Amino acid sequence: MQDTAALSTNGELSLDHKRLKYVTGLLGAQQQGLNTVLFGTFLFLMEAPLKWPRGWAIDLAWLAGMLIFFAAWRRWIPTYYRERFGRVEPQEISAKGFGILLLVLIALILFGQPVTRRLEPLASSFLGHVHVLISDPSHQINLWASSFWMASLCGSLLLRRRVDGQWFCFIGLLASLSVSLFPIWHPGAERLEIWKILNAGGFGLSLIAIGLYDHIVLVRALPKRVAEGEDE
Amino acid sequence: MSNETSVLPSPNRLIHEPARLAILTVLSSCASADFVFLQKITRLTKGNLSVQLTNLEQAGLVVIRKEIVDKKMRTTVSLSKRGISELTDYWKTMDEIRAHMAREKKQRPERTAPHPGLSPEPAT
Repeated sequence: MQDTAALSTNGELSLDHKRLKYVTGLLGAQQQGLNTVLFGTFLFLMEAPLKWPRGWAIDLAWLAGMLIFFAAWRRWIPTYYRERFGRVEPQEISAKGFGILLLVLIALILFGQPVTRRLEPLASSFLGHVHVLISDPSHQINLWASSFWMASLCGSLLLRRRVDGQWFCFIGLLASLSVSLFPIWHPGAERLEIWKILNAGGFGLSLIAIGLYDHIVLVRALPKRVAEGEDE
Repeated sequence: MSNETSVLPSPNRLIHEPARLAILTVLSSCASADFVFLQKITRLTKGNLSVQLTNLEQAGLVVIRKEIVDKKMRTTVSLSKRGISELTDYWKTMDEIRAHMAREKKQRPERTAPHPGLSPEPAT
């Protein structure tokens, strides 16, 4: 993670155009880094088999947690990003893009059900095959996290979606595969509480990791607030 | 050589300057950006960024909007239609130059390679 624009030793401004675009895209994204962390935390708490004590106090805490979640999502995080990094408006969808989106939606409405009916047996037989391959006929292992990291890695390698992010995605994929394949080498691991939590909450944890990565890229690329008060 | 370089297209000088190119690159990947973000991402001083933005605005490449929000001046900058087409042309020109240089590089070793008959005989 380097600077987007930096003065070189001879005083010239050296530029990395890909990085400039990438950082601008990160800040202009609807789902900024810390928001991804927030959604990841929410998913993790929902999916992981954590043992919560019962009682009205816990219900109240959940309600308060939901309120904090909404406040952070709609207000605190956007305000923090605006004040810390500045304001970027994302590019509007072009007329061509909008037309394609509309066509896809119409196609989904018209042909979604028959296509799903035809693809569903294929997909479930493929998944069944994968689970047999990893010695998991009872489908206990959650493959969402590994699929997510695989897609992220392919995106960063083929589409150059994440500048310098290939290694991060590769490490994420290795970590998620290690959790998924752990029971092959250690039979009985399915009974371990920690494995159950990591397996079920893997996707949430992955979102937390990738959100933090995006945020750290922004923090490193953009220095602390330079303009105080008026912007000029 | 001089003949070949004379046909080389020349890039737009206004855009080719690194600070202005950085500003335009950032603006090309979003609908608009404010002064604070532009200053942070380009690492220019306030004065320098102001001057560069004024130059770009005078050339009709960017549109600058100023508004007062919470008693503070907020400056928002976006690419104009002309700015979009000029930047596209600039990158096309740069691609042409790059392709030309690559061709030159390929041809150069053939030209500079010593004639086999002129190579020194190994000492016996």
